[in-house]
Amino acid sequence: MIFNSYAFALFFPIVFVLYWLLSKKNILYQNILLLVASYVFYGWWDWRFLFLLVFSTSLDYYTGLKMHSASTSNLKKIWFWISVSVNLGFLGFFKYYNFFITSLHDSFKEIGVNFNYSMLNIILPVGISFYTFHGLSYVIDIYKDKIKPEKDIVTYSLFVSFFPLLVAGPIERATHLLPQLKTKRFFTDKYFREGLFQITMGFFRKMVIADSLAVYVDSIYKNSEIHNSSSLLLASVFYAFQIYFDFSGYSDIAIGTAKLFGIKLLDNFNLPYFSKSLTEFWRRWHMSLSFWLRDYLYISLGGNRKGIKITYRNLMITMLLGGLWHGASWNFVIWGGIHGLVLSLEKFSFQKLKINDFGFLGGIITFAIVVLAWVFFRSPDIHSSLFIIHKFFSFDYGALFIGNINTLINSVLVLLIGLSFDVYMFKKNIAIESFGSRVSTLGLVTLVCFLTMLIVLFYSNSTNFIYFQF
Amino acid sequence: MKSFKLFIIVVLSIFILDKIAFFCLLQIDKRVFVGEGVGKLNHFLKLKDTTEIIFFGNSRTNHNVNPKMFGKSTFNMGINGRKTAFSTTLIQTLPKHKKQFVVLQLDPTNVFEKDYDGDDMDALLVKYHQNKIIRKKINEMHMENYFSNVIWSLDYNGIVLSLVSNFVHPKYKYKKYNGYDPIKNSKAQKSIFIKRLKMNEGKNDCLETYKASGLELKCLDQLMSFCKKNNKVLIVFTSPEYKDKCNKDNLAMKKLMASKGIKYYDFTNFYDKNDNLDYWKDEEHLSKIGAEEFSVYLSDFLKNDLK
Repeated sequence: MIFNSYAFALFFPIVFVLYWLLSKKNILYQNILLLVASYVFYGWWDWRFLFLLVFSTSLDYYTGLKMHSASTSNLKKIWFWISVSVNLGFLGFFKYYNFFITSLHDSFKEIGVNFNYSMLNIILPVGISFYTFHGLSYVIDIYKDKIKPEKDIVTYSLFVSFFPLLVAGPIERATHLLPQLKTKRFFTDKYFREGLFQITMGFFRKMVIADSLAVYVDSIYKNSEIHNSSSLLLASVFYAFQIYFDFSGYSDIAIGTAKLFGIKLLDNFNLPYFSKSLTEFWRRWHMSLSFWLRDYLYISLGGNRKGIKITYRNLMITMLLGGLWHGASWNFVIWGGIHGLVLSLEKFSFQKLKINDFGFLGGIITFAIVVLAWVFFRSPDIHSSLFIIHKFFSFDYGALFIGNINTLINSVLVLLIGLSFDVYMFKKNIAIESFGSRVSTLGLVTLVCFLTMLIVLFYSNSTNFIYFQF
Repeated sequence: MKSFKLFIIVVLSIFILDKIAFFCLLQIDKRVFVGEGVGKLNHFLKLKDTTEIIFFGNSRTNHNVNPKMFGKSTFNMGINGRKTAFSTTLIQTLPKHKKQFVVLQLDPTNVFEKDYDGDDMDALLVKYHQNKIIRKKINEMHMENYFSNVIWSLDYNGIVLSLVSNFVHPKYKYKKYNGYDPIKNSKAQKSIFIKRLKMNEGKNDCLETYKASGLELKCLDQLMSFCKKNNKVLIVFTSPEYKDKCNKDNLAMKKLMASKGIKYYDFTNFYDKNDNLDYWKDEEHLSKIGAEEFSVYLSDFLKNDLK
């Protein structure tokens, strides 16, 4: 089920009303309801993969308990590695099997060794990268004695499967979400206002801005070979905003929906394109993933504690794996590599010059690098990516490809509305998560009505959320 | 309780705002007769009862057929991206029993689209609350937006800016417009066309089998039955293509039309011996030069059918 569907429009009010009707009863009933609802939400797409989700949940739940009760550290380690390898094994099989086998075959072919292999027709289970990371953070935290395992299977299952975050995050931490699921939730006006605003804004960002921009981006990237530099550059800049509004819109709907159930999820975006350095960008972009990678990968590799060379190596490994997490393609690896390289260069120059950023110029450079890297993210293969990048620098800047002029004007108009709101929040230093409770009732009603009318009049035919494929 | 009140206020405000927006846009809509989205549709609905020959179809009708060449009162109702369901619906709005000539351009690619679900009907959603025949057809094909029964202004989704701009500043005088939009080739367009030809060199898009979808067949049956009952002469044709590489689909199309008893002419290879790129915008669309020459030929070719 996706948020912008008829099914969800029916599903959400039913779950919402039942949930608050149960609030006077035991908290367990509420959790059971949310868990069942989450499985319905997930199974709506393909019920067969529910078994995988349930298995992965049960495994982490069980190994978590076993690690805690292990009599020796070796036994604890064994349970830990069972969980990690099974989790990563599933992820590897479903997401990376075909990629690795073809890459291996191609590499051997280069040195004259040829072997037969067969590709598998594998369907990638939606959200597998996200719920695997939920589970991993839980077992790693138990292994490091940061948390105690959750004894209640319903609460733990809900932590992994809570429907607003199940398929595309934010990637939650046990330390943040589990305590909320174990205590009584109250319906508060504050959360209602914030949730209402964030959901409306999320739908506006996704269905109006991102989906409108997608029309132009898709038309150019589909036949990149025939377009000139101007059209390719505009499409790439549009894509930077498309993916931002698509994913941050999804996160807004997820966080807003959770708030209506009295649950606060982790923030995921904080105006990333206002960053003055790439380091800052990663503190503002897909924060739940970047902090996950920092805490569980970068720091585990030694972080910046083992000298400058190891720090750069750790940065590169983290970003390359972060890229690969997004998808089984060399394009994502290169995307991660570009970010890793620039982050290392930034670290080097900031240390040498004893500064934190390059000011306004840094903002422009950061945006340019991010757009350049997005080319690899969006293109179907390395060949197309290199062609587009080559075009940027070959200065074949002729007349723009317009396509449907009305569609283009619509896209630019709604993009400007979206950006104006971001500029306003940046100047006032307000986070979208708290916007609904900081504005007057009249202001909130006006904004929600205005955004709803914009959605009604300008929404574009919805494509799936970009991050669903990861 | 505060939240409940807030929710009710928001819902009521949206409900009222929606109705205000809908009636404002409806007033504008009624006055707009230019532009591909709503204007051309309004223009068609205004003159459909008095026009003798009407061409229907997609951009290959719109850009390739000049009604001026056909003498009688003729209108070109070709609109970009439209397929059989759209044209069938519009044809069924024609007056009953008045003799009219319905000339429909159909492409084999569209006719044999495996999963065709009538998605081209979305351009008619704007008339959902205004035209009973259109509403019935949209509902029949399950293309309706369920929310539009409550939120009426959804009818105007995606077309507000063009509607307002065509209202404030009409691009042409609609009374002189016959629905034909010739393409003047630009240098940039020509260069894109040449690159595209190179890219598609040697490619053959032939399929193993050609089978029309259930909806396609249903539309053709409805079309035939409506025209028979209501004194309409139905002619179907396929516009020229640049160096068509597959004729399997054309043969299948001929077979399909014959099985339905529909008069069909195939002009796919009309310009086969002509290499001049000035006649084309791309592989599917003729430039003004190509279209005018084709229209002259077509009017002469259909002379007997249009009597």
